[in-house]
Amino acid sequence: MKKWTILILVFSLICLPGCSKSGPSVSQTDQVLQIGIGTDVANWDIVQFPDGDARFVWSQIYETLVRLDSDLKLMPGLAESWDKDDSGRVWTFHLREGVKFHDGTPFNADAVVYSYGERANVTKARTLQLEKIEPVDEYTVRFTCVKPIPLPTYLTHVAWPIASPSSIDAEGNFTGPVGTGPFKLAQQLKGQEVVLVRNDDYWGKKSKLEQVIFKVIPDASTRMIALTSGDIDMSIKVPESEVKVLEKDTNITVHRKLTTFTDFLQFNCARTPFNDVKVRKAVAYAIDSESIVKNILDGIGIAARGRAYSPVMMYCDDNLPLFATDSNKSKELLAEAGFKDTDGDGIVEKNGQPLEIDALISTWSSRQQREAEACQAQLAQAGIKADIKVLETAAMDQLESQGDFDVLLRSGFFVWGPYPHHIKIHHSKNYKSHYKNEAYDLLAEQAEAIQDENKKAQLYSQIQKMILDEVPAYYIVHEEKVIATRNRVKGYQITAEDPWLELSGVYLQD
Amino acid sequence: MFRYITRRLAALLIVALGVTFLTFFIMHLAPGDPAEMVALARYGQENLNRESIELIRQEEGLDKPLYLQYGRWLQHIIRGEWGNSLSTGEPVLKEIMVRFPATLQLTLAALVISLLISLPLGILAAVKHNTLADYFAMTLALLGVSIPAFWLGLLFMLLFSLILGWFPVYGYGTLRHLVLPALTLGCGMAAITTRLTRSSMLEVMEQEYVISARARGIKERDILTGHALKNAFIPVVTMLGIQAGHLLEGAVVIETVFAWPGLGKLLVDSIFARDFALIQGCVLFFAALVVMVNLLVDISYMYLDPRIRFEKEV
Repeated sequence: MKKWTILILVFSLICLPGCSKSGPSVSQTDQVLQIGIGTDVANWDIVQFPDGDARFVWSQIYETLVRLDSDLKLMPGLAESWDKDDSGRVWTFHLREGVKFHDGTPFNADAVVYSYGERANVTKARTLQLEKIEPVDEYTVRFTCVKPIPLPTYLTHVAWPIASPSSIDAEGNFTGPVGTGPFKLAQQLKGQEVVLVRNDDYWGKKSKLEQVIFKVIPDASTRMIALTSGDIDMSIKVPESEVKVLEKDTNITVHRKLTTFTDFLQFNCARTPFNDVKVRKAVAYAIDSESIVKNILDGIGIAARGRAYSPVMMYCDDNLPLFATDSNKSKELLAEAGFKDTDGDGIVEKNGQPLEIDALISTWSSRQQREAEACQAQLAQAGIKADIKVLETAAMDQLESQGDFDVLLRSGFFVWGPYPHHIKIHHSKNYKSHYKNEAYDLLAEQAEAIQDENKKAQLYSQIQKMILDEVPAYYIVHEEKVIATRNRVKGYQITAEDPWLELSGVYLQD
Repeated sequence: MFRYITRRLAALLIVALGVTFLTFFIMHLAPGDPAEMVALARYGQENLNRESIELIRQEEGLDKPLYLQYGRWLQHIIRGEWGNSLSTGEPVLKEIMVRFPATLQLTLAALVISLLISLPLGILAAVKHNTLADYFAMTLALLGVSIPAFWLGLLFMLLFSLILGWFPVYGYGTLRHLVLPALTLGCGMAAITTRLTRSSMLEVMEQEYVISARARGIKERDILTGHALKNAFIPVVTMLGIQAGHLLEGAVVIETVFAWPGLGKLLVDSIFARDFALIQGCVLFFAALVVMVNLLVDISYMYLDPRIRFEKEV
């Protein structure tokens, strides 16, 4: 018996100190919103791009100069208005007055200069190429870009927000996130939770919520059980496969909205077989994106059928004819490219070589794995044998860098707002493009630079047409954002912007 | 005894050196460019370009030959500098220590639960050898080994949290949070320990000292607790040491399912991110832990079997 007593004593000595470190206790009637997220916030400093679900947390603490409404129209954020010169290179932003950061320091032109200065990841990554950024007066900032770009659309991204210069100390060390957002950071327990409290000095409409607690729950099934049991009030990024189950639960509301993300098959146009546009088109005709949405994604999302722009995006041309699934057409095109099934095994050959392709997908998305399997089955009908390789990011990036693959399944690339920045993926200067077409490069550059809105729309329409004609990638599904809340969460309105979580107007009522 | 412990601790240095050396070079054999992965963590997938990747390669010294990179890490670690995580920028030792209490709790609780299940069950199976009780215990053990932990975890969660509402679905903090993950882990471990206890007991029960004790008319219960059990414990304790070592390295699946903030997920994430500073730090930390646990196991032999004395070995 004595041994057991000692054992239990030792055990409790070790356990109990750890146990007392639990998060702040929460009474259910308080205005405390608990949200389940899949990944923790690894960093709070603008030196680093916040990845995964961290961005949903950032969007409560930090704000951007330009904001988007729920349908992705640009609207004033921390800047009340902006104008540009005729060249489209020099942009002047007129800032909102009387805004204070969480630590009381005033928001002004210097804060903007700091936020897009040398430390910022957007500047370091050379995504935003600025010649200079200068304060004109206390509440006016002038950006001079290297070339004409639609700057306001860049400045909506939550990963490139306005942070206070006071978030670093005299030695240049980061001391904590200081933003202007409706909530401020109270506590973070690594791998467990992030506790935010209301910013009572918020310049805009103050939230009714006193606290927002982001709970880190890596496993999607656990998140769903936690939502069903009421352990959390809201779950973001609900997997498509869970939607039907949740919709049947009378305690839960599922919110859906089409986003800017589009899943696509990107071809390696630098080597056989996809250096031949006919083979790329054969794939496009073979894949039935309607059926993928209906059967694989439970009707969530819209079949893209080759359309590169989600319909919610600017300059999306709805009049362009899209691909219609046609396996005969697919076989015809393959035959024109020299591929025929001569030995009757169901797989087409050229010079005795069967058409067998390596399709890469990354491990992190089960949705993509299911999409890839559906594509594989559909391609097999057309006589193309696809080998799916599910790889971790590092391994996938290496094969991609070496060009050692035939096709990649990607989810939306370089998309955050309504502007079609993602067309840069097919620009030959992008090392992930695997496609070289000078006409395309020229169009993409002109479209971004041109100032006349009508001509801009025309150019972007031409780009969309070129993507349908040339098929550097076959766009499959326009993704829907799915967020589920318990019914006690009132006033939530889902926005098309991803990744951003809009909580203004949200409150709890049992 | 003292000399033995010092010698074992000295061996720890060699183990640590060997393990970190191997990890470092094996990780570099894995596909993927560390500089690209660091760039990915800092700038995001879409903002990668060749220039910024090369800049990071130079800044972080990733362009240097591997032996120099390892040498530099070793130099720092000797000075007690664990370095900063390449992807988050946080000190490595801090990242580890934040999660260690959670891992330690889960490990100990799972060990206790597995012992509470496996010892009585194993002894019962041995004493009632080839009876219904034995078959029952062995069937349970078989189930325990075969059922995947994530599935069992989800089942427990559905039953005890969603339907009965006894325990929280996930998370870390109170003893109530600990129950389900520890139970899931403990059940899996108990399966192996039960079988081992049973076979070890069976073997010991046939030893001459047990037979002679029987001949002397000692009660069967006293033979069991006084003579057999302690001797049967040696392989069991060895097994527990190995299992504990594994657990301290983290039970990734359980940690993921129950959102338990332990070390296992930290290590796996750091491997995916090719975050060498963090990988090396974790591996070093685990090596030290495993050596310590095994040292404890060895010392416990002496208590279980007084014939074992370590001085004689020296």
